Parts: sequence; C-alpha cells; structure tokens
Amino acid sequence: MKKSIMTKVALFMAFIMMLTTGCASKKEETKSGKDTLTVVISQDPDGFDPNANTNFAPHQVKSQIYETLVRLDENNEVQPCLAESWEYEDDQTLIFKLRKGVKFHNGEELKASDVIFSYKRAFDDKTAGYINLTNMDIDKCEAVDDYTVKIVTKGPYSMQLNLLENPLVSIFSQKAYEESGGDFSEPVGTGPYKLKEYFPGDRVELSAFEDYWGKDEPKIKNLVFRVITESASRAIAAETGEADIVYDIASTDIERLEKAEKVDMVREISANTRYVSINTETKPYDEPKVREALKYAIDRPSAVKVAWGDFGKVANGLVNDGIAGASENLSEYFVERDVEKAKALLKEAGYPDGFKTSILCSNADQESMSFCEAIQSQLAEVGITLEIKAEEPTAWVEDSLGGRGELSIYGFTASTGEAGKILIRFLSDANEFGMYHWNSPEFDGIMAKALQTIDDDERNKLFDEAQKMVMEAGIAIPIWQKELAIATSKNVEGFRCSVAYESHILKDVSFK
Amino acid sequence: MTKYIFKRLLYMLPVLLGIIIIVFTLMYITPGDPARFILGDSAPQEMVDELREEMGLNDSYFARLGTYLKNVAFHGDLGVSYKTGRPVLNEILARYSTTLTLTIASSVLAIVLGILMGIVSAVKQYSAVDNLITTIALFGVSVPSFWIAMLLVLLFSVTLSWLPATGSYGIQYWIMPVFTMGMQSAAIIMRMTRSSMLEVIRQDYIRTAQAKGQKKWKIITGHALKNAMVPIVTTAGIQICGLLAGSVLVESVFSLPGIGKYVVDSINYKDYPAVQGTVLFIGFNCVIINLAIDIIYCFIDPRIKIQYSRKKKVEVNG
Repeated sequence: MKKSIMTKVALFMAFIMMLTTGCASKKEETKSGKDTLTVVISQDPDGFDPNANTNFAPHQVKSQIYETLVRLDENNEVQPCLAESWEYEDDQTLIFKLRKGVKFHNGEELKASDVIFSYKRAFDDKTAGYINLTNMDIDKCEAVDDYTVKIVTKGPYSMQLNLLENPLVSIFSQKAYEESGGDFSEPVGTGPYKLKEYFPGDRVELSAFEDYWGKDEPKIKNLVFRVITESASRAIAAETGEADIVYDIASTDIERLEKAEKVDMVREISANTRYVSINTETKPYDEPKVREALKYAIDRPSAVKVAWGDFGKVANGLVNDGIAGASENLSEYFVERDVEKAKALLKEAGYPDGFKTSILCSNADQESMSFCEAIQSQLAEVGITLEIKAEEPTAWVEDSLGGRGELSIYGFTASTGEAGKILIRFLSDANEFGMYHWNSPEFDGIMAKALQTIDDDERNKLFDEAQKMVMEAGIAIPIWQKELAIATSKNVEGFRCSVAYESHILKDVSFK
Repeated sequence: MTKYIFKRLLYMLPVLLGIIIIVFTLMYITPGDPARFILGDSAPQEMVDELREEMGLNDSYFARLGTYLKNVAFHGDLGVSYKTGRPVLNEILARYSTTLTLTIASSVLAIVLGILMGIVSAVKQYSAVDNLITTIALFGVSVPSFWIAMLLVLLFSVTLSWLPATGSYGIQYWIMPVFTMGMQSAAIIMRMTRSSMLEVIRQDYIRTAQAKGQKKWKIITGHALKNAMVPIVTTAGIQICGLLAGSVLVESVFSLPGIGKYVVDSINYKDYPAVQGTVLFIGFNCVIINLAIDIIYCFIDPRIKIQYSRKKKVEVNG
C-alpha cells in the first residue's frame, strides 16, 4: 500500500516535470559537445537590436551576429572588417571601401546603402548607438556606389573611425529591417553566427553562418550563450565544466578558479578606470588646496587592496595601460600618503579642523563601497568626516551627473580603445560636467585640437597634455584599473580577449 | 457553491487593485530614471529628456496610474518592457513554465513529505523518530534556502559531479532546486501537521474508534487526519504562494529562467512595466491558489459546506 502511494507520487512528480519543462529531450541535444561552444554571459541580451543596450554583456552575443565596418585588434589598433580599406578624403571625410561578396544571413549581399541605412536608423531613432554618431553630418553621409561609403563629420573629428568600431553601430540588412517593420527578433547581420533560437532569460542558441565571408570561419558549428546573473553560479559553471567560456568572473572567485583542474583563467587589464570625482562647485572643493589635501590624505594602494584585493591594479593615470594615447609619465601627480602634509594644506585652505563631506556610490558595487569605507578612516585621520551615500545604481548615475554630490566613485571606459573617449568626459560641454564643474578653456582648446588631429602621434601628444591638465586641476583622483577575468575550459583554444567593448569575437575559437 | 465561488472571485478584484496601486506607487517613488538607463550615462541630457517625454514618464502620478489601470482592466495589457521593448505578458509567459515547474514539484514534495513526517511524528510522539524528525524540521525552518542551495551545489556538482549546478535542460537539473525549495516548506507543513494531529488524536472519538478495535492506520487516515486537515491545508496554501513568489533566490542560485529572477532583474533595470506586471501576475496566481484552498475546505470539512448551504436556505426562506 505504502509502496504504491510512493510510486504514484514519484510518477506524478516526474510527469509534472516532463509536462512543464516541455521539450527537455530537445534541449539535451544542444548541450555542449564537440561542435557546440557553451559561453556564459552575465546578462540577458534582451533582444537583438544592434543599436540598443549600452551594457557590454548583450553585445557579447550580438557581436557574433552583426559586424561593424572596422574592428580593433589586440593592440587596440583599427583593422578592416566589413570595410576592406579606408582613407581620409579630407579632414572630415572618410571613404570606406566595402568588402565585396559579403552576405547577410538572409542571402542578400552587403551594399553601401545598408551601411548608410544602419547609421541613419541608429541616429534618427535616438537609439543608444546614437552617441557614436553625434559628430557625423548624417545627411551628407552617402553610398557613393554599391561598395563605397562616404562618412562626413561636422568638422575634423579624429575619433570617428574608432567610434565606428563600436558594436552599437553594427550594420544590419535594410531589406530585412523594412520587411520586419523594425523588429529584430529575427536578426539579419553579416556575422559568423546566425540566430537559431532565443529563450529569454535563459540562453541564446546560434549556429554557424555557412556563407560567412571569412575563410574557414567560424571554427565551431554551434554557439550557446547561457545567461547566469549570479557571479558565484558563473564560477561554478566554469569549475564543473558545464561551460567552455565564462565571462565576468568575480574577484572573489578568481583564486579558486586558477587552481581548478579544468579551467584556464584569462586576465587582462580592461579599458575601464575608476576615479574619485570631485565636484569643484561645492565647498570646500572650490579651493584647490583642499583637493590637493585629499590626494595626500588617501592611501590609494591600501584602499584598493581592501576593496579589490589583487584584482585589477592601482591606477597610474587617467587612462588605463595599453589604451592608445594613455600618458606614461603622470607619476608626479600620484603622491605617497602624508597625513601631516594633508593637515597643513587644509590649514592653509582655511579648514584647520577639517570638514564634513560625502561620497556617492552605487549600492550594487560592493567593492567600490569597500573602497569608500577604507578611505573613510583614512580621511578621518586628517579631520575629514566622510559620509558614504550608497544609492541605487540609476540614482547614483543621475545624482553624480546632475552635480548633486560632492565626491563620487565613478568609472569611465575607453571603449574606442583610445584615450579620447575618456578625456571628452572632462570637457566643459560634456554630459559629465556636473560631476566636476570644471571649466577650463585651455583644456577645451587642447582637446578640440586633438580631436581634429588625424595623425595618431600628434594627437596622442595633445592627449598627453590634456591628461596632465586634468591631473594638475585635481578634479579626479584615479584609483583603480578594472581587470577582465574570463574562465575558459582547458580544451578551448583561439580565444581572444577584447578589452575595448568586451565583445569578444568567437569565430576563431576551437576545441583542441 | 457557484455563488460562493463567484463571491470569492469578486473579492479578488480589490486585492488585485491594491496590488497594482502599491507596486505602482513603490516603483514611482524609487529614485532613478529608466530613460537614462536605456540610453546609458554618456547620452546627452536633452536626449534623455526627450525619451522621458516619449515614454510618458513626465506625466503625473495619477495620469500614469490611470492609464495603467485602464490598460490592465480593459485590454489585459500589462504594458511593454522598457528594457526589451516586448510585451510584458509575453516575457512573463516565456518564464512561467520554469517557475510553475519549480513551484508544483516543490509543493508536491513539501506536502507529501510534510504530512507523512507530521503524522509519523504525532503518532510516535516523544519517541526517537519524533525527536529526529522535529530536529530535522527545526533545521529546515531555520536555515536559509540559498545557503542549502550553495551547499548542495558544492557537494553534488563541484565535489561529486553527480548533478548539474545550473540550468533547466532535463530532470537531473531540477533535483537540487526542487529539494532546496521543498525542504523548508516541508518542515513548516510537518510542524503544523504534527500539532494539528496531536490535538485530534487525543479526542474521545479517536479513543472510541481504538476501543472498537479499528485498525490504527485507518483511524489515523480516516478519522484523525481528515479532521486535522483544515489548518494543514491553510498552511500548505500559504506555502505554495510563498514558493511561487519566493522562488527568486533558488532561481538565481541555480540560474533557472523563472519569473522570480525576472522581477529582480527588472527592478535593477528600473523596468517599471515588467515589475508591475510580474508582481500583479504573481498576486493573481496567489489569489487563485487561495480560492482553490477555500473550495478545498468545503470538501474536507463538511461543516463549512453545510454552514454555507444553511446560509443559503435562510436567505431563501427569508
């Protein structure tokens, strides 16, 4: 009697699971095998609109489906992709020659008109991709012929070429867009992989595009992107071998994974730098000596160690190592901690007893909060009472940009692979102006000149000067260079880490 | 009976209305701008303002609440997700099967295990078996489910490699999540069954049945359990609602794409329609479960049914 009840219950449960999980057996087939690469990402792509979503994780999927005119290599140098070559007709006109015979996933050939249409859509619909095209004179951009694209900027603008590498301005098929009425649920790009099936919140299945223009690419037939938002669960997926590549490994899991048998860790300094930004409009930060006192009061290496441990590194400039145009000689602006000197500077500035201040921080960023706690006690030693205002992420962004804070922990990413992308944030007409309230006509002038200088060496010299000016003004204290930590299975080879937009291209990856 | 069900259905309306208003207000007063989130922090303020206008975020609280209520009540439209641009209802339904599987399987586990253990524990009161079961139950009630989940993963996935740690691609993937979810509820149901049974088995009619020489198992299932069922069913109902709404932690640890995980992601992204829609959907499910529990009462306790029929008779006579 008892046995039969238990059997019935077990059967019932099994039946319910089978019923509600649906095609479980079908899903089994797609599990990682020799011809399937399983990649774990930290966020759902939320659809396949190439111009949408400024976070990196969605583009880790979309970059396999869509491509851009140019691409950055390991050294952050611009390389051909859909464009075979390019030249400057004059300081504000770029002529791209498209690769011939490139096919979209719907079988249509890529034409210059698709490129112009893609940019116009990103521009006109005010998408997130728009920010990369704001300096383009979109009405003057045209398809000269089927394989020639003319890009005109509003004035000479050296960053435009790098900005066209951004996955947010990827090229899609005009015909497919018009036929679907602007719906990207069946994306049509030129990338090495095409969409097979999308299970929101769970996974994206891609299959190799047979007519891809690259020779012998892609190397693996199927790609499965699994969405795992919990960092501990991502690390476990790498450790147990459930996934071949796992992005966004948390600093707390690195040590364990480095010892794991099945895992190789790929670690590289990213393009993101974290700063303590200083709002010079608020008292007492309008006084340069107070800003200097902060530099002497904070022990960056020890605070960084507390917050991030050995993950990433202490910042040695405004722009991370390896990014084109990053100054290499800013050491004079990074001082050793000197409590007495800090106190003396505060006294000179008229604050002998210190003052009360606050710092804005995202409550979703535990490490930055730990950093704030570390400097809280350091600042207390010089008489500065620091209140940590941990806010919900969007509120923290709004308050920081809106100038409603005194200090803020903020980060910028050189997503174009060059220093200009970070330095433009310090311009007096930048969106981030509220964080600093720093209006320097000299800096604006140098930057205007740099952004109009097409020659790389000359431009980098100007960027170097601009970086020194920001450091001299003491409006931001660079603290930490973020690191990219990716776990790959030992039987995977050919994985290339892309630091600029973290949208790693997987067509060259294969199994050993 | 039909009238009773109809009346209960009517009671659902103010509950659902309350849920909508509370969730809408909470999302309204939390800081942060969805338009800024969509466009990124480097987008110019004018562009963000333009998008805010387009999304209707500049409208007053009452205007936005009114529009939302109208769309939900008359068109069954839960709105469009800010994050994905797809209808919220579609997003929820795409994830519903996962949460439903988890809820049903863990509820069955919790109810079967909870009631069985509760009966054994009550019948063998103060024995070693009773002590063991109540200790395990105390552990089950006290320990947070995410901690159990992590321990299970470390043991069965990382160390022993017996079970997959994340995903939902076959029955083996569900064992740990179902166990994690079900154990806590099983412990609660067991404790309720035990105390409810203890109360019943001390009553005279049970003693009479024993004196008549009826079989022990029959006394327990036929007489005692039936009368002890009302509080157990109530507890089980609350637990099922809790499992449905509280699957978020387990879904996150085991990376199951359910609606619990969806609502948390949506809160992080300030996706107002998604949060409102999902909470309303969960609320609707809980109201339905409660209705089902109310109906079950009539079957397990004839007094409730008779009470209701009498009322009806009085009404007719009056």
